[in-house]
Amino acid sequence: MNQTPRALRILMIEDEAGDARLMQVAIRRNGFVAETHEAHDGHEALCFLRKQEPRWGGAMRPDLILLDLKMPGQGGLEFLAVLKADTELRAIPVVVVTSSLLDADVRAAYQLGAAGYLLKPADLREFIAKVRTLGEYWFNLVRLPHNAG
Amino acid sequence: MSGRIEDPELFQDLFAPERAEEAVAPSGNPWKVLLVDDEDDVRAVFHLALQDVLIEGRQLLLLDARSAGEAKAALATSPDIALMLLDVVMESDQAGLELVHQVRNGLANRSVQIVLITGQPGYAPHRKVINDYEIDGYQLKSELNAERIFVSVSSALRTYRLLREQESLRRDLEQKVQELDQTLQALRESEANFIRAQSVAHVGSWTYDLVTDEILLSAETCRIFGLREGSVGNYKTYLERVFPEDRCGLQQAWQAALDRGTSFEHEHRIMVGAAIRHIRQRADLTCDAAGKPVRSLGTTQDITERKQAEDELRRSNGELEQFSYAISHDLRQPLRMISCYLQLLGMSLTEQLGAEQSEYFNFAIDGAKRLDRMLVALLEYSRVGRMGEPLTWLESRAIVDEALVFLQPAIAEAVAVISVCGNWPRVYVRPDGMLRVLQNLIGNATKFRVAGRTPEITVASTVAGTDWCLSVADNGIGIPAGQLSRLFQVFQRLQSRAAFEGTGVGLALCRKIVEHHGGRIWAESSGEGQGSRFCLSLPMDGP
Repeated sequence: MNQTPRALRILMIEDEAGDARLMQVAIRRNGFVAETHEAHDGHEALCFLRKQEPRWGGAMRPDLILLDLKMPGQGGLEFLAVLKADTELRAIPVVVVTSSLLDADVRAAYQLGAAGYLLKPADLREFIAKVRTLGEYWFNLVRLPHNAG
Repeated sequence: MSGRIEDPELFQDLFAPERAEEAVAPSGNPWKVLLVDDEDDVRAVFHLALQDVLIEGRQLLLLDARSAGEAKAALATSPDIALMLLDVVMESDQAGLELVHQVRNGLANRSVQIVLITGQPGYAPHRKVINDYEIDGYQLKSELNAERIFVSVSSALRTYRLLREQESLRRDLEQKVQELDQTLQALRESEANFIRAQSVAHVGSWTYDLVTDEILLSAETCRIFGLREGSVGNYKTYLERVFPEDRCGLQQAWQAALDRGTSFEHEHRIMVGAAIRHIRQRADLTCDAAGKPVRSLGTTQDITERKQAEDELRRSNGELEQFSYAISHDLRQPLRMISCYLQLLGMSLTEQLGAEQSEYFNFAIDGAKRLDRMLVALLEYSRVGRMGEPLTWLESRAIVDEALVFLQPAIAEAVAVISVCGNWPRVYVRPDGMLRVLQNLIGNATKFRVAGRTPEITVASTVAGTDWCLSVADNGIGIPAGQLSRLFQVFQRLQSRAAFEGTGVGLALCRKIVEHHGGRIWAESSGEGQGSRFCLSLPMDGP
């Protein structure tokens, strides 16, 4: 029974390379073991999840999705709506990670089934601390649905 | 049965002439009868014939005149003389006839009955006087007897009564006509006012007869629809003027009102030439006995200006929303890149950097982080009053207590002594907004303290009439005279950032929130180092 936990598989949907890299840095600095895949908008993320392109034929199903809201093409809220309407995919928890302070965005995200809403701070240390709290919850505390592949 | 028609006695009783004169006691005013004759004997005959006579239950009051002159005087003083028995030949051969002329024309008395009593028919031939003068009877003295006198007098008095009744009816009728005229005049004025009021208020009215499918429009309704005054329409012509996209909704709303049989209210657009107007229709329905709507009375209000203002407001709110989003997201994202990657760079270079270079890094990072805080504060400021937080009744004391809980770390750090006193009313406010105001004011009092002096802060509340007045007083650094007015502007800082950290938005935010509650906020201070006092007053039962 003493199984070493496998790496948590994270799909990061983020159009800004700088933000995506910051998240990688924060995950690494907190010592979490994660296998991340990046998509640059909602549409790309759905193609990945539905394995609609040959290059993603053997892709793993993610344990957790980190979702930016404002992206060119399909935005975060639209993606969330589609995902949660998909019986195959809707069990995957989605945490919104954004700089939008707007109450309307917070409300809409939860209404569409987001599992959390995280604001990106301007301070690096603060950012790393937030990702630690986030990781402790998703990596160590909660039990996620078993994803065979 | 005993009362058969063949019974001669009963028959006789039923058809016997009424003898009321004998049976009934006198009642009402007596008839005034004027006897005009220069011969005393003739008048005596009349007195004799008419004494104790009752006509229609009334006695006779006989007045005597020996000449036409006396008669005229009597008639002038007693216009209620009912009958004049008049001799023709007196002072002159025609004195009687001249008197008739004077009575009818000079005195304009057309109701008094005049019966000529003449001894010399030659002076007043029967047919001629009846035709030429307005007289009502003619008796020859030679033919007089008690019975004739009675018949003549009673028939004249009955005629008089009928004439008077007719006269009284005519007067009543005249009065009614006059009243009706006044009512009509008032109605016309009221209608004119109604029409003026409609045009002032941009509200017209209409009636719709559902049976004949006919719509009558008031002048203002015609104006709103761009129609000629007095235009008549029907359901189809009305619908043709409705903006095509709004027709379906209108028909549904109207049908729903018909089904309910109560009232109708609907807003839609109409086409007036090339222009589009917004109108609000309200109407009541009248139903027949079976509950079927037969008639509708409604008003048409031109709400085009309001709609345009609403559209403008929506557009401007939309722009502000874009602006908020830009601040919230689009401006802060690149800023985050600057600060975070500078920090990362600083961390990875930490060993190569000299003290001065580290300082450069810190200035850059601090600047970026401060800019981020200012953007957040600005966003918050721009959203006051647009977030639509509802007003709620709250114990004002509870707001202070909550603010103190939030501020506990800062209060502990400053070792501040806080006293709360006064009379704390219930107030109708936006809870989050007012909490933010108190947090800012008490937080400022804690922050702007004099080094080495224990901060003493007094939060006091009073009620002045219908207003709630709150003050936060401290013994801190105070405010220089002449700077008080700048305090409440956005990004105004009276102190260097080195001494006191902050975005410069706090008091501007407080002012905006207080003003949205219909109140005002101001500051008082005796000068630098003298402490300061921030006061606000707002209506307790809401703006």
